[in-house]
Amino acid sequence: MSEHTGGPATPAEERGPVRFEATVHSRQGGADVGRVDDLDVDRVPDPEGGVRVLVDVAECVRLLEAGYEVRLQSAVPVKPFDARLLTDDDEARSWIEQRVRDAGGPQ
Amino acid sequence: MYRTVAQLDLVTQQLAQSFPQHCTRIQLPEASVQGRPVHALRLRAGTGEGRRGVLLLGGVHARELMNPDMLVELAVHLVASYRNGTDLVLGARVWPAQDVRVMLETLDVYVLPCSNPDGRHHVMTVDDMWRKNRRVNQGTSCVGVDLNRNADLLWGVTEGQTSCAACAETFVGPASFSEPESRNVRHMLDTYRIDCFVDVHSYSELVLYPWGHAQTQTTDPTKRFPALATGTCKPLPDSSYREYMTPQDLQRFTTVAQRIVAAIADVRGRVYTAEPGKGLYGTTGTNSDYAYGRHIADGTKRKTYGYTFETGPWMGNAPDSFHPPDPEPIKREAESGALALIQQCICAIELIGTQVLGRRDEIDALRRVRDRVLATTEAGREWIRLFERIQGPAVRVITADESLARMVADGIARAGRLAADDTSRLDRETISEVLRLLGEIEERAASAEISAGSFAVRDVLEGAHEQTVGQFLGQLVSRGPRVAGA
Repeated sequence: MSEHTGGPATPAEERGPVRFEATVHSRQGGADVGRVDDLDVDRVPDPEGGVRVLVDVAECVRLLEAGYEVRLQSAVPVKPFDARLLTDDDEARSWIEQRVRDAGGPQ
Repeated sequence: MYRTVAQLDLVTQQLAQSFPQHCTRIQLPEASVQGRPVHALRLRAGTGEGRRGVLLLGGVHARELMNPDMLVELAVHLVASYRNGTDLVLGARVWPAQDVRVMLETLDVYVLPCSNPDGRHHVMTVDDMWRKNRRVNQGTSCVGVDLNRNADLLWGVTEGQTSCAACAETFVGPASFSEPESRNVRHMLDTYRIDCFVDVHSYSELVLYPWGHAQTQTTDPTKRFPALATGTCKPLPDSSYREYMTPQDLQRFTTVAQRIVAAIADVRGRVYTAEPGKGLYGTTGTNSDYAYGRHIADGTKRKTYGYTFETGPWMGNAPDSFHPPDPEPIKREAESGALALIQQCICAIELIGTQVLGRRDEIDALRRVRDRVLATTEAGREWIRLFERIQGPAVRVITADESLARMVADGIARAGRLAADDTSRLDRETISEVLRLLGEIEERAASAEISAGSFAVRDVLEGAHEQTVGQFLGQLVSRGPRVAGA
């Protein structure tokens, strides 16, 4: 198997703290939006079947330079998962212990 | 709420410690890139080796957070339902305790809930939109390989959302199965009997089946992926290329996918879309296509029906779609979909034949009829579909009664012997016996599906007296099952 290194996408460590969720559109006479995958940006499913991406500023510039129209939808900062949505360890333990008891497991 | 890697581990650990007769924790041969151990859990009840197996895989893409939680909860729910004899209630869908009993007593259910623990930890502590594993890519400052592009199925062919760029989110890695996390999945497929497989992702409310790299066709068997070059870092050279799949496999994929969709919709009315992977976007090196495709690339491998779920709807933005503030209803519908896959993996004839008869010759003869005769025409495939629809409720009734199971096993043996010889004749006694058994099952099942199936079988059998097996099969492949009242 061959080795592949490097590429056009922005290294994660060089990214700024902010990314954008954006939709990408063809400009009149511009690049076909179907070719966005060639630019190796982080594409996520779009509810309308369009092209939706998570991009930093440099990637945004690259899309523009490639002839696309980029519509920023929201900022998506690089940050840890919201701790308020995490189960704490005690809760996680008591959840499984209760389920084990309910299923007749050892007390 | 979401669990950390350690909390997910705790669930499998507690299950295995508390219920060793039902749950076996399997440490996979390779730790993650950062050295975290990876575990799977085997669920089963009763005795018997050589069972059919299902593998449920989660957490491949780190940011798709809810699926590992769903899978450990599914394991807990299955064990509790089995041990307490209680129905498994998922929203408006009720999975009867009897169905759960059949699943656990006839199959080995493997759950690998968190295949990418480093990625999940990174999501929890650094970047909640991280997708890949945490491999440092040599010669670059970029981290991560996409663990759903790293398998050995057209690896390195950059069709659609697949990339050879080390910094890309869909980086295929330096070689196929370069990543320990991917090799663990391969290990499960190599080591255990896995007949059905699902890799659970988010989001888009989809049930995907092969192929991801090209549209599927069923007419030109010369177009198969092993003949294509891999590692090219280019898309497929011919954009009109269509990948072959046998009509019977395509039918099986679509039939089971529809049942999964129905089981999901039963929970709270969300209707997922079933389609080939390519419908979402082009991919290569995915786990589900690899699971299915490996028997084509290597005839010594078992055929595994591989699916991908994309759980959850669009929530208005990508982060909330990957990890919704309230994942509970989505987890329950995904759980129902996984149960449908497990149930569909039960093969009634194989189960009753091997468990009660204790031998395979007649079953193999019946399988040959299915694959070499019925599967060759649309009418014949309708008979297969009918059988697949009714086998779930039928198994429930048959396995609950030892004497009925014995009668059905004798019937299977007789049918298998007949099927082995095209010139043998269907005598009155055989037909009467089949009709009597059908009546017995129909009465006990009280199921509309069984009644419809029973009607169609009666209809065709009643005119089959003194036909040869060849003539009878000829009738089946030229005329599908008749529907009552039609």
